[in-house]
Amino acid sequence: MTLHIEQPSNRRDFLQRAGGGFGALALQGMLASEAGAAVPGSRNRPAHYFGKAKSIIFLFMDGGPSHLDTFDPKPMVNEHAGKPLPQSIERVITPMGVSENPVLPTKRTWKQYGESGLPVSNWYEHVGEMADELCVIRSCQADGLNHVGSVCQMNTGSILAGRPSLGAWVNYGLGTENENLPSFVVLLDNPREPPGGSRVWGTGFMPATYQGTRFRNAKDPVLHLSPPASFAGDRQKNKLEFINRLNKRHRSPRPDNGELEARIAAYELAFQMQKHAPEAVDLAQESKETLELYGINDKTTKAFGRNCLLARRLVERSVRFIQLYSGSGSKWDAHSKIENNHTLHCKETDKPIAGLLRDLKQRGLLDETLVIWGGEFGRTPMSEKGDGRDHNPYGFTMWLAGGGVKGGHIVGATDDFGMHAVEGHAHVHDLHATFMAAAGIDHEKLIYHHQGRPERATVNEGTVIEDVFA
Amino acid sequence: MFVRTVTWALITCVASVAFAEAPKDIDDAKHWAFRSYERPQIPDLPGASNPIDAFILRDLKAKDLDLSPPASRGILIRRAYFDLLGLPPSPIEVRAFVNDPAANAYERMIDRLLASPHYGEHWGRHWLDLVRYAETAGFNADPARPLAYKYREYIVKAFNSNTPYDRFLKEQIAGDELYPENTDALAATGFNLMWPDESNASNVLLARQDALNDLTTNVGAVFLGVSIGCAQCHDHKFDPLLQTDFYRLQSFFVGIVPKDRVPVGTGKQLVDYEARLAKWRAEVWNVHTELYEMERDARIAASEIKRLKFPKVVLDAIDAPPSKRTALQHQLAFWSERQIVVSDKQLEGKLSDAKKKRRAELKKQFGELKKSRPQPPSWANVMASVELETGAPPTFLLEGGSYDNPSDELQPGFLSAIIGDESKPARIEQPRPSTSGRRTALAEWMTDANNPLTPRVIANRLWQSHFGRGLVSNANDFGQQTPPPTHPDLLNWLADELMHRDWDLKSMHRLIMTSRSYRQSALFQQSTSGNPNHFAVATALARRAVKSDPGNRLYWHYPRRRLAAESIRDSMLSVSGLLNEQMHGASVRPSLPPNFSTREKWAVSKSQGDHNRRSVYIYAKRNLPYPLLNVFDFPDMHESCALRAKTTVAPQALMLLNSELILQFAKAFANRLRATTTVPEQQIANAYMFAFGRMPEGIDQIEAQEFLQQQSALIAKNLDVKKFKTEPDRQQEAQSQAMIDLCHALLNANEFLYLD
Repeated sequence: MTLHIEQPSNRRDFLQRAGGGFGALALQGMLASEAGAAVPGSRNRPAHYFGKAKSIIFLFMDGGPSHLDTFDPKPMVNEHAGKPLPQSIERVITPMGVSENPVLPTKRTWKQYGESGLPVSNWYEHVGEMADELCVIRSCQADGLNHVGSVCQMNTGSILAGRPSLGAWVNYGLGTENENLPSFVVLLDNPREPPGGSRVWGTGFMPATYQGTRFRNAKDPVLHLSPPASFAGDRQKNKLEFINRLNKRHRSPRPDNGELEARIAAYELAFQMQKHAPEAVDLAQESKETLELYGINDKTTKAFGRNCLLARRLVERSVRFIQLYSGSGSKWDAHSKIENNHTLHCKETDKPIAGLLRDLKQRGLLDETLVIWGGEFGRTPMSEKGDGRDHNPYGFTMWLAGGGVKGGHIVGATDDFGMHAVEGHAHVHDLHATFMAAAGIDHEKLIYHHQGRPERATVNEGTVIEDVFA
Repeated sequence: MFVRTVTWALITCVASVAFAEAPKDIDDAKHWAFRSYERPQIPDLPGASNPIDAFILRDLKAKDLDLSPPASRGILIRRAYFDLLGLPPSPIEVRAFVNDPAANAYERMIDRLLASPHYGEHWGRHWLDLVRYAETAGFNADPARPLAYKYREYIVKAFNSNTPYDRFLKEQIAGDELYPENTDALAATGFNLMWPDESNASNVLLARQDALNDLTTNVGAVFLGVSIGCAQCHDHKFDPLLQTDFYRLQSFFVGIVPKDRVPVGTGKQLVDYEARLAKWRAEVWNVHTELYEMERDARIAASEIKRLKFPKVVLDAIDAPPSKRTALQHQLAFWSERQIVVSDKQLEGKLSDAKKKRRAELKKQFGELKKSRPQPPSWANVMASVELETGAPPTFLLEGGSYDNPSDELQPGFLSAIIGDESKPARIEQPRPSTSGRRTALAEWMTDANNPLTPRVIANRLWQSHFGRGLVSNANDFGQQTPPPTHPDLLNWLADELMHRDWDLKSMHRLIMTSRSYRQSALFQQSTSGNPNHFAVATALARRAVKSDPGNRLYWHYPRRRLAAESIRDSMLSVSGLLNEQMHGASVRPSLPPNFSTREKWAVSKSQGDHNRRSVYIYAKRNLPYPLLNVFDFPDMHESCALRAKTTVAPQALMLLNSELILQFAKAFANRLRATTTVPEQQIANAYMFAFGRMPEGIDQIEAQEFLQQQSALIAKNLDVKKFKTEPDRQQEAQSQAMIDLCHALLNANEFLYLD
């Protein structure tokens, strides 16, 4: 058992905790007790059986992208256009009550890409070129009907607020390899925050050490990274030295307290971060070709492209968990005019995502980076307002790439209309278990004790989808 | 661990005839927390006039250890101020106390602090952590609960007026039933409404059930110290808490609805008022019901799209006239009607002319009748929970915890592990026709002298507030997942003593704080010169103790700790002379860092004075905890927080070093120093007194002066020569800015943030 509010007992321990949300050693303890052997009765194989990923990039399409128009082609949808779903399809509750509405046809054309022949619609042509890297999970399921609960669940496992986010769990489990940067970074493509705000990258009941840090689109990506100009430079350096002297003298008769030393270290780290974070987000070091690859020279793809490129730079700097929101603030939420909405948001993300995958691959980073694409749910085959689609948490698509997953592979299936997952159900808990497995974490063994309950990222449910792994 | 539990259980296991029979399961029955207990014998030890010391010393002596020597007065006053008020003592107060020749100077200081109104502000905040206090409902919209602050006002007042804890508990659970004549007790019932709530939920049945589950879980954790929430879906995996216990406990609360205006009057006055009201309603309902039913089709037509999201059971509830709704329908209407507001104009647009005419008549009639509505003695505008007049809806055990999978109907009942019966319903007396008395019955049971949990849970919280950790380490869970108490006899004695003192919390603070255990030093090194900050060597005690009790479980020294978020901010306001000591009222919103959130509404308070109020008055918004507090481990407002996390992370250092806010504090601090004296040496001395509660040592003085000189030189180099034309101008400006940097450094120092 790991106690978390205990004082750090040694230098290594406090250095781990002293970082800016910089991790812990939970996994070491966990793996040590595993000793590489399968645990009798465990539903999963030992953690390190899967994990290749050192970092995770989660591309979050905020608002719910339509699987029917991107990665899950359903010819029956167009055949049934204008008619309600056949009675054989179970009726569901949707937020806008569209269960009896006529089916909305898709205007997409589809192409089978790569050696695998994986079908991708013409909204994602560039991503299609990378089809042989994608493992498409078509049978995703979630519990929430609306955005805030569903975004919350896709991030924390529960539709109710209060639990740690997936990034916090990974951070807690794996700790950090770069003490000069936060190990869980969040990037938004516009000033709006996703539903629930910063809670969705928060730590809930865990200490703040593991929380996500939002990188802002500015020279100083982190809040309060630099002092006001007139206080900067030598003036600040000298002040830091003075604080350090005060703290060291205060500590000398108090050698028992690791926290005091940790706080001294935190000031050193803050100073390091002041130097390193601006460097990490400085794209001036990137070549013209690279900027082009991510679509940074194009108005439409610039915002998300920049974030994708930053994600690669952060992976290179050993940041553990990077979450990119596209259409932050539920902009993918196409209740009406899905053609306009998705044409725009797919275009904003298509080239940047393909660029990211290609770039990671050519730099040999894709194997050790898990890339996740998806939203909080998918969308209904039924039309809403004649030209939109309602929320569909009953069956939708996410895909994975890198991190040891099978490329050009499809897992699970929805029914003929893409309404319900019917094969290989992949509930959010299963997805989280799988993401964590890719990073070498056994979700059943990574435990945080809270209020007398052994808490797991998967809320004591979930099974790793083994078919995902090569 | 097992051995400890058993041994101790043998000592303290005494069956209480009236209250408890042994639960069936023998193993579970042995768990200490669910057993009744006796007042333990106070160990007879020399040098332990305070019973607390007797218990602590007995365990120390058994390991050949002892208490550390007493802390100095300078350290004690700081410790006491932060423990009771959450604020630092002023230099005048420090000097007066350190130089007070009276033998009882310390006791008098404690009494003074306990009488200070700042006590309620500080100790109330501990309570607000427990009840996950927030002034918004959370979820996407995070809408305001405009009267939630009345609950915070109540809490601060209740601690300041030293409301006995049993009464304090009763007011929160059942103030409306027990003390309806008391506006404060009505505000106290806000406790029952602190659940997060989705304002635009489409699954209203689930939203209702989530609220009830959240409340049930919190009642268990806050008052009883049990993780009953774990029994929502299944029997508790470790503790003798059954799934039926969870829903039986829930059943005490199923009839409540939130109100922001409630009648005030004695029980008798309200019985009379309700009788008059019932009579009046008998006439009025006819008119109102005709009106409601006549409007129904138009209302449906006008809200067609908004209604789509709701299932039939919800639509049936809101289409039924209020006079004909069942209890459950009233609750479903609470969650859904706020989402379907139809304006008069929209309604009229869907009505035929004939109906419009009839509607006008009925509305007029209704308006006339309303004038003769009986009135209670008075009204209170508070966020209160009261019961539905229709009585409570039935409570079901929910299979797997699913709202849509009810099985057996259950009646209100107390924890089976304590009463030894899984099905015995609670005895409930109805105080007046409008309310069932369920919550009264629960509150009475929880505060019964034989309840083994309630007094020990609060005694442990008191201890935790003074020593940084409880005798039971998880103050919200006395179950088997938490290690047994470090000092079981002391815990039982404190709990029993609290009841003997009629649940008087302030007297318990005094008892704890006057113990030698509390007054001992946190430093376990001997100074070579008499000065604790000088190079030191470990005492003989410390050399033994670090081997036999490295974690200080036995309290051989006072546990040092970091200040809580609020104390950090409030101290900065206090030492910089900015603190606005105004109490109570609606919460305030100080400025946020630039571009902090584009999503959440945060209307910054207009008056600058409001920006400098104590932290307990900062608006508690679930989706936007105030950044400075948040970075120092302010709890998530969705769950009960028994003990704050104490993280040490780089963002804290960045916030204190680089934010404009802290620099403003430093500027005000420097101005304050300059206002009293122009002699740098004296300014430094005052700065140390304000920030650390002590005079600077020789080395402190020298280093501070050196720093001021270096800093002045660095600053002078970069000063705008157009603005500061002459050399003396520049020097003066540089010196004054250097003083800001000195103040800023002191606010960043560990000595400022940590308490010995």
